[in-house]
Amino acid sequence: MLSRRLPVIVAVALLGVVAANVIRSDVPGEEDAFPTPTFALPTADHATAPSSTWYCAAGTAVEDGTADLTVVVANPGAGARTGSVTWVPSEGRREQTRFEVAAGGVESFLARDEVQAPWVSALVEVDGGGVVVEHSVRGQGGEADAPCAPSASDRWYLANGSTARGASQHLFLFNPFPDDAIVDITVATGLAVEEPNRLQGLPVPAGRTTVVALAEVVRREAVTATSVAVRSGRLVVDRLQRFDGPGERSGLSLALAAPSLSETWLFPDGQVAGQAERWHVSNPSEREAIVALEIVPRNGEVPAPVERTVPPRSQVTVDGAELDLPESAAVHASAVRSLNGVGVVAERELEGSGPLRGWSSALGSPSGARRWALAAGAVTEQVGEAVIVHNPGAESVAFSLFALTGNDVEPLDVFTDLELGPAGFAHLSLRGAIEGEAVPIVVEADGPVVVERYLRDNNSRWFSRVMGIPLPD
Amino acid sequence: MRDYPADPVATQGMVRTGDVTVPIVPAVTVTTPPAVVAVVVLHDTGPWLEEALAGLAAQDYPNLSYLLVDAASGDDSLARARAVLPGAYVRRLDHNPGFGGAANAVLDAVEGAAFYAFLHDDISLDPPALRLLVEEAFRSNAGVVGPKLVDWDTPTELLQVGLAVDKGGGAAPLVERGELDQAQHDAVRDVFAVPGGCTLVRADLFEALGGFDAAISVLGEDVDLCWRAQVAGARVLVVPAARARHREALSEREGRGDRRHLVDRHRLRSVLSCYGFLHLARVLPQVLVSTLGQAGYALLCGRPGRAGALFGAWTWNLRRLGEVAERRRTLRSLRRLPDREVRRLQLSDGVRLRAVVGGGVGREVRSSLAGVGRELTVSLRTRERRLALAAWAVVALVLLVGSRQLITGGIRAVGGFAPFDDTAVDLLDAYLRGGTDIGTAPPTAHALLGLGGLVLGGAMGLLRLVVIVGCLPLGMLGAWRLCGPLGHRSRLVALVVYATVALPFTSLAEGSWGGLVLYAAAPWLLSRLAAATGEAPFDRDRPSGFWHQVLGLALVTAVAGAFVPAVVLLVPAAALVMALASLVTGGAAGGLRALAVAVVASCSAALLHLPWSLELGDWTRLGGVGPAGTTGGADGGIALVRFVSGPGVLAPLGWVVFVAAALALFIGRDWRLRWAGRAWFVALSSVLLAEAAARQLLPMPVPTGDVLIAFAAAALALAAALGMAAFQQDLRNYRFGWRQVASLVAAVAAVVGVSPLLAKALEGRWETPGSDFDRTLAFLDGARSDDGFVVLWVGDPDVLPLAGSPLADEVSVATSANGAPGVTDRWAGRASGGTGAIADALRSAAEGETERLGQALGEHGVRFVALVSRAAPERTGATAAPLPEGLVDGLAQQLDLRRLDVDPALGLFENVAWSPAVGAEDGDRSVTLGRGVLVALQAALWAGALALLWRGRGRRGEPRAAL
Repeated sequence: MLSRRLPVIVAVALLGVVAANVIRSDVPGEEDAFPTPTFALPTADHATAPSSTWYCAAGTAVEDGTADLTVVVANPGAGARTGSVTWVPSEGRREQTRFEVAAGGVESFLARDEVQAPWVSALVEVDGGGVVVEHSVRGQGGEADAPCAPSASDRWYLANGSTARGASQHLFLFNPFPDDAIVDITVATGLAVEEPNRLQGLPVPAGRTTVVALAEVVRREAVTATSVAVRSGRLVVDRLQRFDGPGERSGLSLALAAPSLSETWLFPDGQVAGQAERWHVSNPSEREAIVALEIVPRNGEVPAPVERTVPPRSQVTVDGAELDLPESAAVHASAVRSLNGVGVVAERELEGSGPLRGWSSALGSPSGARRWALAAGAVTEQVGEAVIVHNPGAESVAFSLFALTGNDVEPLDVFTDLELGPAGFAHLSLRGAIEGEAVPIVVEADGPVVVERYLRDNNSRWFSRVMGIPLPD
Repeated sequence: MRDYPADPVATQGMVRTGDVTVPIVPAVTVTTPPAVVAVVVLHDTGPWLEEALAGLAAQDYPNLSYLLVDAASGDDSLARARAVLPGAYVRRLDHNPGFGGAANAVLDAVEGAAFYAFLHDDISLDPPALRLLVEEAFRSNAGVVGPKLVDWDTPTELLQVGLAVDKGGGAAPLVERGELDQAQHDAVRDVFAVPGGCTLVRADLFEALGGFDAAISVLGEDVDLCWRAQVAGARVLVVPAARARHREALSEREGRGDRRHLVDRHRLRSVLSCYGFLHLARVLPQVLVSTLGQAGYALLCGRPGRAGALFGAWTWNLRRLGEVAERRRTLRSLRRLPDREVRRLQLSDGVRLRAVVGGGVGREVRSSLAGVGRELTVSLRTRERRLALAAWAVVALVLLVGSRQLITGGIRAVGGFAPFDDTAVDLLDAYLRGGTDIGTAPPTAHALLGLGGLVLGGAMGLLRLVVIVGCLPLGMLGAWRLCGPLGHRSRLVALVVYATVALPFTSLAEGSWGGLVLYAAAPWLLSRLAAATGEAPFDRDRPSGFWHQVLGLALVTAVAGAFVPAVVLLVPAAALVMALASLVTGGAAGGLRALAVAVVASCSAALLHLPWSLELGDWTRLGGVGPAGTTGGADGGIALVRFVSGPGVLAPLGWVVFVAAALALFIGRDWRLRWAGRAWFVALSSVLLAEAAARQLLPMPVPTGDVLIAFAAAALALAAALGMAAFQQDLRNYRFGWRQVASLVAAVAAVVGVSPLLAKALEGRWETPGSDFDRTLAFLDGARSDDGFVVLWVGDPDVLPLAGSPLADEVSVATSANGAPGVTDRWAGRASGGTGAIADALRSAAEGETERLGQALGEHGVRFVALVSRAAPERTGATAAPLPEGLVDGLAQQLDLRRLDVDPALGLFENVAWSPAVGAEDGDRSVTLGRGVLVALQAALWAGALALLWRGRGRRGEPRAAL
């Protein structure tokens, strides 16, 4: 009997052992079929996308407005696109402007041509992907540009801003959706965290923009870091910063807030002559962040990183003037990196001094990309434009610049097949290469790079710095 | 001697014996009374025969002949009869066709008679009885006359004085049985029927009617004949002056149960045959409802056999529809009276109701209760039966207690348990019109549920309760039946072990049809597979024909497959495992035979689901199957077998079922060991498959864990039962040692394993959520307008309330029309083009490629989008199945979707781009010729399969024919 029983028991036992081993093995974590797109930096949709939408939150639409809004739509793709700009004024009816933008073309739309309102936002819808949209504001303080947001979010972060005397900081909370949104706004300074009652549970009606004059709500501070948390719904947040009051500062700055935190923020360009440079790092999380500021000079020895501890829900500022950088590091790229894995948001502020006026504060780029677009560039008698390309990697990369001529994307001969060494950067002035009010630029590289645009008034009254918009490969 | 009218026919009367026709000699020649032939049917009579025939011999009717029809008696009945009636003519039959069939012999044997008097062999006529009957027949121009029947032993007590019949063919006596005969009923009167003990029928009428219905062997032939006579315009009279003592000895020759089912089936046959079409259309549904009521009452009284007989009457007649049609044609040509005239003598509803209230049914109830008592007494004669009854009583009690809130408060629309909002007719209509919004072929489940609804008289809520909760006892009954050949105690163990499996209760709590249906079906399927091996002990009392086994397995597979299509693949898979196991355990031939049966049966089951099964190419959509790696997570595997899982002091109890099941492996011999090995192979393979799938170790889609694990549960129950069989049969062959200890441990394990079940039963609803989304989504009903709209459902298939198309791993999409899904949305077919476009649009939104999803969805009529992350509202604590964040975020990014805050577990969006003008896609819902043909084909396949199975089914469990 044993001769019959044994094989059965052995076979069953073997099968049981196999089953037990399988049972004891770990159940793998499920892959998220649709991972949440995290875009600390606006990114264009793929050219094959059925549609794309851009949200431009901040601007004015009145004669002599403080931030006259212009929306610039550039199409670096191979096919023409049609779309519409829906103007969402703070007063009056919405208006819609339909457009067609040719391949390699660009279209600009001035808000006050369509609506008249103290504040205005724009919703740009395109019947395909591959386009990039920026918005420019122009006022007495000069001009400023920023990318529009390709997506809304329930979290927005800004690391800088000022409510000091002579400064006015406005947060534009643009809710393009059919639901009301409820937001909580927290403002952190180096000393305290403020959660003003007026900014808690703040309703943002569906399809409207709520503008918060921050200086009227929080105390006067030279530096403020703002976090916007949306309880329900989604928003797009722009910051419009003006210095037009008494004081030394002057200028106009437009920035799209960051919808997510990042452990790395890359800044391709740094201090130029006559500009003061500061880095602002905000840590809206509940954990302490340890960050390092790395200065990458064009030439010479790389200085040691500057480490700072950013307490939870706080921000720190690193003033370039206090770094005692060697002369060789005066022209540099920079990076802010979190050393303990806590995500932060970092802005680099440049302030004109002496004859060079203007003020700019913009977020860096959390990562590199092979293709970038800059929609709102211009090279005219009054305005000069430069493109800064930074290679944050350890390998050399080759890159070329292309200009959108209205119906084509043409290479700029002088900026073709340029090479950047590891951690290198190039500051390329476009004067002589292009000319016109709106000449978008495309940068293509064979490795990840970071691209920034520098616009400046030739009379030194203002300047604007803004990151490019990555294009999908 | 009275004068009779001259009857030239009678003078020419002849009686044929065999091939020889014998002239009837008239008793008188001047005033010839009409010739009467007394037809006595003999079959294994009793000692009363001589007395009965003596009465016949003493008749004072002058022109009387006798025809003795011997219905293949196995005794000396005929000789005894001839001794009493030496001049009688005799007709011998080589078989017993029943009274009617035997009496019909007179049609071939006699020519020229004026009347036939059909007599039972247990009836004794008073001397003038036949004369009085003939006289009254002439006087009243009646076609059929009958005497007053009194008790054989106590002639002062009445038995019957004619019969009344209700519209359903049910005969009711016109006098109180046992009533003292004080001549109070002695008036001649028209009646609907006369009892069959003694019936005088005009010969020409009898011949025109074709005699008795030969298919009515016994009981009911009298009513049927009289009914047809009435249709033909003949009067039916009772002549109380003619008296006959009736011994009613039929019950001494036929079993009690036989009588009941014969009455039911013959009554229905008469109804089907005798009414005209319009009347039949009106009456038949009422008869059906009456049957259901009686069946329900029988079940309540604990008489499932009676309920079975009632339903059996229908199947018996359905199988003879051809004969019925022929009879209807014949009767149509004879019809002289419309049904309304015929029914003048039927009991009206009011009379019937009074009879019911007044005691008719009261007696029946008393009789039933007495019957139940008798059956109970019989059933409790043996210890095994007492044990079985006690076990089932406990199980029933536990199920009732455990399900009490489900029974009284209803089952919430959790997960797949959508409410049966559609009527039975709607379901059948949906079946005919071709499925759902996202399907093209009509799911068979619609038809089955529709028919089920009809059977329950349209009580769809009750049907839902019965279908869902009924899966529990059905599965346990299956385990009981599976292990029946192993012995009483073994099946008891199987019942206990199978009842302690967590699977059905988890499935109930999560609203999973897959686990529940497979729990109910798995033991039946295993039982069929075991029988298919043709090996002991499953070869006992089971049909052995290959095709019969195929049909049996195919039908069970098809029924389960209607709700969980994956079972069509699981059956051959289980058979394959059994066959492989047989290489080790022995009995390879049997294993291969079972595999062959399973493969052919599965193909046949797929055939029974045509055209729905053609969509199995897209079978991942068809319930119970998920994309690769989906099995319901960690709880989808072995945890479903163990009643107690996870941490806690009771956790070890979850493993006792395995301990109990292991005994047979160690002490079993012969077939106990062989089957234990096979059972363990099936169990472990199921567990292995479920767990491997949960860990994404399999490259192909597999059924969800609850579906896979059902076979493990049934196989473990079988193994445990085999342990008991081994304990009883094999342990005695061993000396005292560890085996006895192991047996004790296994017994304790089986008993201890019950405790978690008892604990859970106290809760009253098996942990099913106490609320659902119905109230949450009630506003959708308010959103209805003339313009239809579509609700798009997105979520894990485990928690979606309807069947969907895969959008990604663990995410499916589905649509329902005009609100929350109903049961018709549960079983879908192939995805239509619209579903594909909707899925593409959703992907675009999830990947951030569009912010105008509403516009795209609006083109398909989608007005609401529901993201389901739990099977029930958040507060119920139902298992969470979170959706991909990107998908949730993508929908939140849409410019034309407005979020409605309803419940954290249900993200609901309203499409502001939806336009009423677009409306819901109706698709092609008309009943096209092609679809009609397909449906008819499917119905024919089912009917054919059932008929073949029935034909092959032997009496009392013996195989009648190997098909």
